[in-house]
Amino acid sequence: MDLALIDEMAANGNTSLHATPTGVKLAASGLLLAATIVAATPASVAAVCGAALALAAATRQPVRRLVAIAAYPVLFAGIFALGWVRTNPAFATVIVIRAFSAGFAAALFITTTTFVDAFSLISRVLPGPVGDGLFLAYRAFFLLLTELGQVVQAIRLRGGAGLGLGTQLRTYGEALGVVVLHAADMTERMYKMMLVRGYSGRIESSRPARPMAAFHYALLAYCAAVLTAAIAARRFSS
Amino acid sequence: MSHLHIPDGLLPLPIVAAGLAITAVLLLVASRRLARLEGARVAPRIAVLSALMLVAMGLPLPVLGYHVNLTVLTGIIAGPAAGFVAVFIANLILSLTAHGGITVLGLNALIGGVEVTLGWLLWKAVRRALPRTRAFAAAAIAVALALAVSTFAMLAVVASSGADPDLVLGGHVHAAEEAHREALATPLRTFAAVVLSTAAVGWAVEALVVGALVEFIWRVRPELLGADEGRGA
Repeated sequence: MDLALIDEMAANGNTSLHATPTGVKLAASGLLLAATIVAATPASVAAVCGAALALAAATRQPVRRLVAIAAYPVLFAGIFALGWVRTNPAFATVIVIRAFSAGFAAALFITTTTFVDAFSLISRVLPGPVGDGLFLAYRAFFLLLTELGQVVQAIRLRGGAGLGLGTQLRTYGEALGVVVLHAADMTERMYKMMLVRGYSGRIESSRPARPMAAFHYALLAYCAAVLTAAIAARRFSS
Repeated sequence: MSHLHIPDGLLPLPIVAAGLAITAVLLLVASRRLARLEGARVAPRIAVLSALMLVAMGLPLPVLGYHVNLTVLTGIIAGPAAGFVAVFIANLILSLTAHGGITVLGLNALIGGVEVTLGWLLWKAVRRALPRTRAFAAAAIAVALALAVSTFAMLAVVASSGADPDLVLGGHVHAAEEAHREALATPLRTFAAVVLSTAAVGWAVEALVVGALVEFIWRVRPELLGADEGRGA
């Protein structure tokens, strides 16, 4: 998982999807995800996946990067599919393509939406501490990642993590221990910072809503059409 | 990996919806309890724990393809309530970045919650029953057992629901037919064999790494691990 790359793509991208209101993108991704789950044959799941890829290409997204992000769940799905590949290859194929297609829909959303916009929408349905934790976790991730990078670099400069596998794993465990200590201190700093800034039990993150344009309606109509086609294909096949 | 994320589209909708509903209730209960006990301190605490799990997943281990999750460590440090919320946040971020199913966020969080809760219970139990045991051994035992149980929990979820392609693909269901059941048992056995053989290596890797980590913290900041019998729930 390369959160730094995803963050960079979302923050610095300049496509029509980047300028689309977050709610519209979330709804569009939700429709594509629903179509993926509804599609029940390898051909129909592949068609839904193709529709998502076509949307990405038409809106000038870096398709290769998105495919690379969406390929990760295929690894997990492949393990699930292994059991069924002999007895029911169609089911195994559907599982794998569904995982990719769902991952692609998620990647399309998160690489065109900054985390502030994405989390402010999602945190509306989460309890206060959970929504705030989501915002702070994202920031803490990058700080701790830097810390871990420095610790790992220091280990390498001092001759590496050791020779045997057990020694190496122990060294990495202790390296993570250093990061845990740093994290504990970071918790205190964050808490004090929030108190100084007048935290009242909820981080305010709302931004002015972007106006709807013809493209946004077209985007929703396209994704709704994909879902409708998937439902129709399922009825015909059963 | 020591922990397998369930991908989207594998399980039937009722199971997925049940997972989301149970997770929602647990999140509500846990966050209310934490807010009452800790006030404003809770958000940064769970945030840093979530971030820690995500960062640890990026640590390149010398065992091909494996990474640690630190769910059990989160349970040991924070207890089940804060640990579950932290696991949910980590899973939410993972699902948004296509590293775990979106629709199965609830089930993945519940399986992570099993690791957090069992890890916390086992760590306390081993420390209490064998006070002379080294922190390394106590943590390694807690990690290995908690991950093993959570893997079997995941297998049980898949076996009880996703083992039947008819249910997942929405076709005709012939649940009572003996031959049909037999046909489902074979792929499930293959799946379980693949998962358990790969996961067992992951349990050992995570047990070693977290054991070393916990022993290190036990030496320098034991209060983080509840050495002063501090907070837990």
